[in-house]
Amino acid sequence: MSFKNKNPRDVEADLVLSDGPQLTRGEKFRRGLRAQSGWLFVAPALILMAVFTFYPIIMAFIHAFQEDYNGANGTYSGWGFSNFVHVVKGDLNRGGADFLQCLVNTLIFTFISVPVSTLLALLISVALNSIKAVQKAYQTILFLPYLTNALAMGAVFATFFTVVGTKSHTETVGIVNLVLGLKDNPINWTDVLSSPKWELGRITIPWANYIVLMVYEVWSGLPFKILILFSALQSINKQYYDAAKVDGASRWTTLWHITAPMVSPQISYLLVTGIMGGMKQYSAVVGIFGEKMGLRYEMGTMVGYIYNYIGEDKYAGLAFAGSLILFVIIMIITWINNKVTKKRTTYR
Amino acid sequence: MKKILTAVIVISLLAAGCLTIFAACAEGGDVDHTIYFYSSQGDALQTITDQAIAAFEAKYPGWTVEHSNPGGYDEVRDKIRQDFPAGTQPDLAYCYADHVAAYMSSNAQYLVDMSEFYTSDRNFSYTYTDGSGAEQTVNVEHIGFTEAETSKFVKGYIEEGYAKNYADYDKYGFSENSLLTLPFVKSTELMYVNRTALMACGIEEPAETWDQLWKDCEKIKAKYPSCTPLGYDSEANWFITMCQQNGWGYTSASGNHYLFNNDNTKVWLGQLAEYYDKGYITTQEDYDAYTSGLFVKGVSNEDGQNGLVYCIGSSGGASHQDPSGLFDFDIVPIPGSKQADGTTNYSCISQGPSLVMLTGGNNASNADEKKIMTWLFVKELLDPTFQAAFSIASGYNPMRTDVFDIETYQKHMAGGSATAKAAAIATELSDRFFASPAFDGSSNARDQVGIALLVAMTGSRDPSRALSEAISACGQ
Amino acid sequence: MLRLLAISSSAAGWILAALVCVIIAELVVVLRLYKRYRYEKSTRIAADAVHIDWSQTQYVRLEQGASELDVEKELKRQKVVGIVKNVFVYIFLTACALLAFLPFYWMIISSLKTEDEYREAVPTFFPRQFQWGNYKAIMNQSTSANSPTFWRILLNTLVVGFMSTTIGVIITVLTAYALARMNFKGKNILFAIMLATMMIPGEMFTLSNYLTVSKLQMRQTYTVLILPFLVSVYYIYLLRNNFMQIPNSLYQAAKVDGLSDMGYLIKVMVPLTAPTLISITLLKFIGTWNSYIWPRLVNEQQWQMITNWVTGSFVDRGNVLYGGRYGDSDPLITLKMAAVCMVSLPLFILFIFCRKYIMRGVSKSGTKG
Repeated sequence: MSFKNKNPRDVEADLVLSDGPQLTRGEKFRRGLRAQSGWLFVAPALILMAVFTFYPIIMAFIHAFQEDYNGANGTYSGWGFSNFVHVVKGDLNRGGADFLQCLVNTLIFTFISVPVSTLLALLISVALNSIKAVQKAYQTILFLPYLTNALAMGAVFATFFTVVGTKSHTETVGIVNLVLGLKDNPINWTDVLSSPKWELGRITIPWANYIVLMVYEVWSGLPFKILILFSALQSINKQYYDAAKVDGASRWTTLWHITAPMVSPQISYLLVTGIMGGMKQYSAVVGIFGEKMGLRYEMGTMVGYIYNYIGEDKYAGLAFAGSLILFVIIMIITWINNKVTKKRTTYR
Repeated sequence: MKKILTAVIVISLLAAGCLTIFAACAEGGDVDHTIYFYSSQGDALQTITDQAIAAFEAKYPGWTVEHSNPGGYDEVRDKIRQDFPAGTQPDLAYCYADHVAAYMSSNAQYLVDMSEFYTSDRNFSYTYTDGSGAEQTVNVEHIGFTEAETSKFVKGYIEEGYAKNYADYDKYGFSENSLLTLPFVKSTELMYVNRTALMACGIEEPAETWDQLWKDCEKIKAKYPSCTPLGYDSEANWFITMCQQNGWGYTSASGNHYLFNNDNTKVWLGQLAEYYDKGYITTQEDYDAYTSGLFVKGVSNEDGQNGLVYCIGSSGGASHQDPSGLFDFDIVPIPGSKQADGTTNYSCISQGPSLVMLTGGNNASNADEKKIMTWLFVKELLDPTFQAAFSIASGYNPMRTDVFDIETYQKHMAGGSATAKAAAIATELSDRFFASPAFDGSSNARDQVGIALLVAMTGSRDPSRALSEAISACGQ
Repeated sequence: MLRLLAISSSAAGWILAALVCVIIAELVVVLRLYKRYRYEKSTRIAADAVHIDWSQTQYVRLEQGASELDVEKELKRQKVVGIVKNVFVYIFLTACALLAFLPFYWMIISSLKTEDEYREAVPTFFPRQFQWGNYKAIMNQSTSANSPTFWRILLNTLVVGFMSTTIGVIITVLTAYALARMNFKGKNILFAIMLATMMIPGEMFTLSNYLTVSKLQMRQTYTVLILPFLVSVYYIYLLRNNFMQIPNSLYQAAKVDGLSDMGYLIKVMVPLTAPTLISITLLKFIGTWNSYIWPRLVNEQQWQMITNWVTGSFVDRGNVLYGGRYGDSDPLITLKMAAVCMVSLPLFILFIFCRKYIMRGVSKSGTKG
């Protein structure tokens, strides 16, 4: 903390704020000192963040640009962008996750499951908003998935979809196959090997496996979205609905022409936070598909990619480079979000 | 409100106080006199190992052993990898050769060459302060093994630990006689046979060669259409064992390491795909669980009995293969491959944990003394009485033959349990054992051939594509 | 960018292109919704006027033309339609609630089945025979000294949860107050940097932090589980916004009364934002309860947390329960489910009692602990 270089403008601000009378130089200086006492308040947080947040980030930046960085003994051969090139090319994968595959997976999971669950959450919230009896009970039950642990619940979801058996004899086809009437010709939804998939060069699209993950994502994402949308709906003036009713508008028309626009700030907020959360997807995939995220990380995600390489001595640089790329992607999303939010605030 | 606030402040002050206390008693152990040992033993086996720890601590007062279990074998490796840069590696750990190769490539300076202790006749003494504050001296004579003892060790197991089995060992400052690991307990693969079903199919003796086995499969399948004649737990072991039995080439310690993408393996994988299509085989990944679960179901044309007739799994897992009286079962060596000269090669893989000694952990100020003490703990783990107890509990095979003279072990072997039977057979096979070369990337190669076998067998890839994908996943 | 596309195969390029299309489409939808929102808002007053107009017309029409009977009929018809609609709504909600609850139901019944029943081909939807032994088996620790008891793990979790919430909340309050109310040099930059760290995936910190705590000799302690997670920018941000909503005049009045910053914070701000503070405390506790990766990395079993216990070692219990039929390396899913149930139960109880605060906190912060 240096008080010598105190910014005169801060003192002025303080003066304006306190509306005090004209002050002598000495008093001004003392006030200036006191004005910096905020640093004392933030000091604990700042020290902790310096050690556990800022330092690791700086180290990650450094390692990302160290060529041939070896995580096990800290050696490297020079500086440059080779880690990033290897990440994109995937030529150092050695049976580990492929970045392009992980990127595509993450984008597909996110950009399908987030809108679907937001839409579903909107429908549920509207329904919830239109009833009076046992509303609280429904709300509570629908919130329960929020409290669960992705690793544990992922395993439960996996049992719904998994087929156990051999080629000669199937032991159990799982509830989902039973419900879908696929008892005789079951799809093994959680198995990358035998489930249906599309193969497109370097990338595999195991869509049946995607469905499992997306069902989980929608399920676990609903509580938060319902909560937000429901409280937004409750604050909408009832008059609009009365007007629409008198006008003879159907429920769908009301939903699309009144409700959706009224909660659109919340919807865009949910989409953005959902997408940011989706970009960091990891533990649910491990819970459902195991540590290897499939056979050769076919179901890998960006964070899964980072975890995969961070423990690999010679390839730790890939993890750091990958995390920087992820960081940039999230930054872009945030930037878009900020643009939209700013527009909104200026309007208000 | 004021009361609540006061309460909150008091509580938080208390909490802060507690925090400092907890911080103060951090790492209560004395790192200089504590030996850290990582294993992947479950609770039951840890109880057995506690015997060895108790024996060690009684013999060498002032020293303690802290035994912990980070998880399975891979977790032990991952944990140690993360420990190296932090300088918190243990002094002794479970290992596979692959793991040691990985440690060597990045942190060779922390690996201890145990040959300096192995047969060393030097004496050693240390001092400690006892409970009353007096200095005591403990003398240890002849810290190494005697000639009489080493002659009882299974030679093949010991051989695996020498540096010459590791690629580029000389580059990291080891000589070919450097002893990097010692065997702890060992296992191999055995074939568990449903004798009742075999007899019903008119097969007198379990198959001794693969050709015979495939013929049996046809007969079995004709009689029991919904059963699976053969289950093989480990895809990777199957691939590696076949390469060894037929000399096809899997990996080599030098050169470009990866030899498994060849015409012989392609043809073989093609055959497997055919057999799979006929419903002859399943594996652990295919079935989604250990195939022992299928084996113990039994085989008949009734519902719920769609098991295996032949099941190849670890000798250490024999207790899972016991059908508890549902049918007669037998344990035999795995089938061999007929050679061009008419002989049969019965090679079978050698598995099970070894022990690796590491140094430089936790900034101990007495690294040399600690090395010797760790070595003395290793000796305790290889003690015949302890080896007997551990083998009985785990189903693994002891690493020394004088265990067979111990009464409790003999009693166990005579008991006729599946574990005992398996151990007895596995012991006889020790001259058939092989281990594949270890280098940085060998464990990945192992994973990749396992996947290749799986995808080729189930028909989701043709054999040449499966193998070329595996090769490229090995970085070739 | 061009190089990136060239490297990936053409098929991959197509997928990326398709994805970009999806993203653009979604953006368009969001923007359109947003535009409509703006439009609706600007026409709100007009709509209100129209609304009044309509009701008046209706009223007039009713009075002029229709007889009493017609009104009653119409009301009845509307009532019937309303009931039918409500039935549909309830059916829809019940279906959703059932689907939301199904995994929990599955978890609970699985924890009460025998392993044999669990592994049957066609799953049963209610346990044929309640196997309470599952719970007993996971509670009874095996004899090994190295493996911690359930109570030890629970104690760990409670101690860590309690301390990290109390200290964490104090730090959050202090920081949020300084950022909201005090003027000091570099405040805005500091706040911006803090917010920026929220964008960085936490996984980037894990490895470096592991090295740090190892060098500080903090492993195998509670401290190591508490310290790295004391500062949560999310909650600082949340509380700062809350503080900002408190009118400035209060601050000036307090200054006139001679209250110091600290006094103002404790006597005025904290009581006013108590609900938010309670929410933060609860959410922080839930976060600690669910922590998994970090404790596993830095501490040995004795010092780990409750989620580690769940994913840990029940493989040895098969022998106890089924006498050798399920052996040492066979993971029994029923036991795992029992453990998951036991860990989830306290959270559910907490939720039932503090529903309001948890929901409020979640809706404001949007994070999971």
